[in-house]
Amino acid sequence: MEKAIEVKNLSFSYEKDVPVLKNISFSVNKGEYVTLIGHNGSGKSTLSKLLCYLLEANSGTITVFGKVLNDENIKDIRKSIGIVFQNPDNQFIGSTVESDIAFGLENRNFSREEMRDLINKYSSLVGMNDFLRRAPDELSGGQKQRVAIAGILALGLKIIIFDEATSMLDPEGVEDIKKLIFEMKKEDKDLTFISITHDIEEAYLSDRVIILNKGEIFKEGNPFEVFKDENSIKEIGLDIPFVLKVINSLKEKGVIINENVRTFEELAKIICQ
Amino acid sequence: MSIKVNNVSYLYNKKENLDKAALKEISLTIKDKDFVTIVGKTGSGKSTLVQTFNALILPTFGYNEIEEFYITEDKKLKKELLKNKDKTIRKENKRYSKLKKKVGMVFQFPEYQLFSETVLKDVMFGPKNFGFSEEEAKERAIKALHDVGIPESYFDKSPFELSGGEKRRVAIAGIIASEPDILILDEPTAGLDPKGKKEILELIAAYHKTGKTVIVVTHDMDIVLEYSEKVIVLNNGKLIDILSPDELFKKENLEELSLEMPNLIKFKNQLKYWGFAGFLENINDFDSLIEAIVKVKGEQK
Repeated sequence: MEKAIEVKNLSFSYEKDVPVLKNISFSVNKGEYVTLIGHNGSGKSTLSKLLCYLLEANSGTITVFGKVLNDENIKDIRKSIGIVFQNPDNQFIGSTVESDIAFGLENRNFSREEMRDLINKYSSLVGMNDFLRRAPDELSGGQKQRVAIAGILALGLKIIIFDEATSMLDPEGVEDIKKLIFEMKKEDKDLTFISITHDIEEAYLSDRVIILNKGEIFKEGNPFEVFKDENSIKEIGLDIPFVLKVINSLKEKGVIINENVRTFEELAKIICQ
Repeated sequence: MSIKVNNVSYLYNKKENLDKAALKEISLTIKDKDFVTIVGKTGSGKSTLVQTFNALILPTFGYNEIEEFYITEDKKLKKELLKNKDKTIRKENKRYSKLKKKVGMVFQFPEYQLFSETVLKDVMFGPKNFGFSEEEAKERAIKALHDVGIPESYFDKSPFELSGGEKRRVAIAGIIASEPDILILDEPTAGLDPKGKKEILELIAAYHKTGKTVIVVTHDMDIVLEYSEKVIVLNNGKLIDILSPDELFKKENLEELSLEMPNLIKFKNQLKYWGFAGFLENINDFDSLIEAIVKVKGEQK
């Protein structure tokens, strides 16, 4: 399996002697959907900034499609990896929605027509096509997040990272964006998607979960393994998915469900058998 | 303190028609000491509505009434409303500074607005701004920080050294230090981990218990179910309903309003759909749900 990202022995601190990330190693396969979870302050967002070289590690390496990130190749590597951060105000560069989405495209040799088509396509996909001429101060936080997402998706990247990119959207908006990502992944099986999130229900449905705690990898694996031990998950300030909560509580009362169940529907079916 | 919203409409662009308004002819009452949540999809007008409560933006038409304050941009209407009021009330209605002290607003991601060198100074800023002396402001700030669970050892730290959840608690302390009678919070738990979320909700609930009116704008239906007494549902700038959480989650058309059900209700509905043999009506908490399942599965054995 080709690796999209490989992180080796990565350490980082903003201040001397206060390590934020401690010797972290993991990899993400091409085409994989990985969620990264952890309490506030666990180092998730620092990691996302390191992954796109907005911060430089104190030690260790990050390899993207076989190339170790450094000053020389970062421009090149940014053509394949993009990130949407939580705070949309820090990312809104254009004076209008249209010019904001155009901004990222401008450096990539698209013709005017191609740019216009891409802007129309992706602003529609995130539901912002009626707002192309609006200024950022006329938009809600969630709408600005949609624009930031469109701006990254339009670039046709191979690796997309969402760092709580939908935190200001309503549930329907979150669902829409999730569907959009699934559609894009279906169309392009090689699209690698990393989601940094507090949404445990989302993590439960991803291919693989990495849990960070105090700057270290606490657990890593498929969602069933990772969330198995309710107590240890709760001890680090997280929670387990609703489906597992039901299964665990039933088990305490002597009703055993053995299957690995992911969705509410699957669990309800088993209970109603 | 209660809020009366009288036929309020709000237009960002005054030249546009009312059908493009962010708020459309909304009338409702929020009672004194209530814990109210406001729900609705992005762009439904939730944040706009609460911003009219402390006159951060003024209703283009209609008005809000909060004690002796009449909040509207409609000059003619305002003149009419204040016609027989005494001079001090008329004066207070000019700039609403007293109102802003009574109606505290915690914005989305309030930690983005922290700016002072130390945690304590940041929390003191609000009360000082409302005219409290340095000493009083400090006293209030210390009490507020205590109420939100920030230890004294943090008081002289830079707010930027704190974690996301801690920063948010400091930002909330900055508002409650002025002890507003009405506390409004816009998405107070967004971006927090489950533990941080719980801490914020508990501190809001504690503030409510001191006899204050609390209004929370949220997408999180678990908050609606667990904490609020009344829910205001907005869609496309219009008031759809004002009702109890129980009544809301019994409704069939929640998805049309882009409202997500709490996990518990979603799962209950799945059970019903697949023909669950037990009794599920009026089950609104997790333990009762588990008991209902155990009862059925136990009987089958």
